[in-house]
Amino acid sequence: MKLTILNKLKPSFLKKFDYTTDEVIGIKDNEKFVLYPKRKLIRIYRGNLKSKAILSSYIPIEQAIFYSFEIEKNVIEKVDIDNFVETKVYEEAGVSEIEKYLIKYKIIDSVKDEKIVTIEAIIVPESYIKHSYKDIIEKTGYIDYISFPAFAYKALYEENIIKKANDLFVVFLYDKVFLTFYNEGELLSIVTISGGLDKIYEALEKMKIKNFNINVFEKLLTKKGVNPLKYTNMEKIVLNELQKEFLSLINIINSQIEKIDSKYNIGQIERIYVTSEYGNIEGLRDYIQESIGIDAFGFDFYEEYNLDRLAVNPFLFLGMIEAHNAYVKNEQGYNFSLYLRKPTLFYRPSGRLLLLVFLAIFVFGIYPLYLYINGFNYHKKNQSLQKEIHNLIIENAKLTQLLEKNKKKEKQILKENMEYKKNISFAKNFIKTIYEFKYGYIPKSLEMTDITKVMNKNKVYLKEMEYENSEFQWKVFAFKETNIPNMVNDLIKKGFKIKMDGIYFKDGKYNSTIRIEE
Amino acid sequence: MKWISEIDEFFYSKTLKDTVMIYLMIISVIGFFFFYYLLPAAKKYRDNEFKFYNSTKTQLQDLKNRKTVLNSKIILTTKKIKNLSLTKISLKKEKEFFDELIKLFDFVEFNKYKWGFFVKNIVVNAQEEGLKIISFTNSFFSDNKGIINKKMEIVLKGKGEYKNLLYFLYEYENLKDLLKIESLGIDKNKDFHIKFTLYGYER
Repeated sequence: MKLTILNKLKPSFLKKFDYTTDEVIGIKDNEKFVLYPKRKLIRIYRGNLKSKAILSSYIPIEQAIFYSFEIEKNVIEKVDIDNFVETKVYEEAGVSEIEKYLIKYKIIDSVKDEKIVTIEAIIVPESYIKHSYKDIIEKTGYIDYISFPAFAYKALYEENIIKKANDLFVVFLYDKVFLTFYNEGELLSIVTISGGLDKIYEALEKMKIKNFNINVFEKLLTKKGVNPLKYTNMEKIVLNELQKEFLSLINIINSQIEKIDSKYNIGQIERIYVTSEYGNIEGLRDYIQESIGIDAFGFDFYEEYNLDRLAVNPFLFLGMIEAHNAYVKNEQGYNFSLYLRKPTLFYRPSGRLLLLVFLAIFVFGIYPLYLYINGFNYHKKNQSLQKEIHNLIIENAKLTQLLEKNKKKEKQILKENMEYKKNISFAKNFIKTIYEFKYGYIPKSLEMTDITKVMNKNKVYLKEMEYENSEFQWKVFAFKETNIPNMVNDLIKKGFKIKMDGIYFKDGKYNSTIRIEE
Repeated sequence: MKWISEIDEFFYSKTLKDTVMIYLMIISVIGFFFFYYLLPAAKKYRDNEFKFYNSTKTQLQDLKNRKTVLNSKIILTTKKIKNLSLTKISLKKEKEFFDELIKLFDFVEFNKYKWGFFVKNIVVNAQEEGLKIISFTNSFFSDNKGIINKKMEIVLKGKGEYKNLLYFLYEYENLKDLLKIESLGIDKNKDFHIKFTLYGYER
């Protein structure tokens, strides 16, 4: 149970097969249906055949060869039963030895003689499978299940469509009648009766009915059949003929029932399910029930599923039911498909190889990949750093330019300042020089005036005056001996620096030479 | 896919031993390819990028340092410029002040026409003061060493009263011009001589 839940939880690529049992597609020729077993619903299918739904079809009864034989139980234990059945089929069933056949068989251990068992084998040429389902295979590459009705009836019990009982499934084919006996849900016997609807057709043909052909015959069976209520008095003759012929077939069927009763250790046949290759024959169920005294039913097993009232091929429905049952229970013993759905990739050698290659690449590549990613990471970082460097270079260039500009400006201002300073210094120096020149020079006229005033005051008279090298030389005379000394005294008092050689008297005058330094 | 089916068919036809051998061969080939080609290439790529990363990082750090230095220098120079600009404004004002001041000393400026006029007037002025000029000489000198770089020596010889000479001297010494009396003299015969030096400045 746990495993089933785990399996359901698996992602589809980890499951061995990627299919779902919740949907079964049934396809036969142009008929395409999809069955939803859980919802008990059947619908026309218009989607893609290649899907998760189980894809199924069936083998028409007339395409199979039936062969049954008895064998002692102790023999079965001693032989390889598959080979034994195959050998027996090729030897005794009248099949072509050069053709390959698919043989599916069932061992039935219900014979009254407990020492023996019967083997019911269904033989289908492989060429038929290959050829008949070619279109489907070309579209999908697989077909999940190909059923055969005789085995498919079992699914009716398994899927609880009918209750287990002793049942007989009768299919009227054109040239034979196909009987399948089931005992409590298990296959008991397959019987074919030579001569089927063809006998009835021939009988009616002898009646020279106007425009009678096989199509009219098919319509007659399905619309009116052996139901007296469907016939007028004028047509009763046809009804009588039909009832007569069908009764003949029913008697054969009844004799087969008796044979089964006598051969097998089972109870009475309780139900008969009847149909024909044209579908259910009108009134035949009631006619069989009246004739044999066993409850008879049609092949309307899908009625509960058929909400859309579709014209469903009962054998296709049986095949879908069986396919579902087989996949749910994982029983593929009666699957005639040669082209099963392939496992998912990792369950195939190619997938394993791919996985191995990927694993090897991963294991061997993880370190180089790490190195590469690491390197790439550095590469990205380098790109980022290079960008940063580029920006920084530009920024630094701008800053350098700005610095140079600043330096230049600084130099310029310094130069200007120097120039200003120089100018100022020059101006100061200039002013100082002019000032010193102007105020460092004592006007000679002033000095001379001062000296002259003192001379006049002291009655000293000028004889000669010279000025050179910042020194005045005054040659003076006076008539009194005190005049010149008084003058010198006054000059000294006024701050003059006086040098004199002396005063000498000559010609009635006192003479002297006075030197005044600046 | 057809090739997947072909691989499936190929392996379905092989024994388990063969399959294992094939798997081992494939693993070996992949391993050889990875270890012989991809691993050295990836290692080389990573090493180169790592080496480049380190050098780039160093370069980046250098550039960042340089940026910091440049920014500091710029701040410093900007500050310096600001200070210098302030100094400049101050110096400019000072200069303007001194320029205005110097303008007051325009009389110092050497002007050959002015000096010519000075020479021309000196005889006239002496006569006006009652002095008689007997001889007159003048000579011009240039001196680039000092601020006062021009000078003109004028030697006057004449006859006149002492008092008139004094007035004459006073008149000239009272001028704004840079004038110096280098030597002078007057004797009892009223003969006098004066040696003026007129100074000037030429830019």
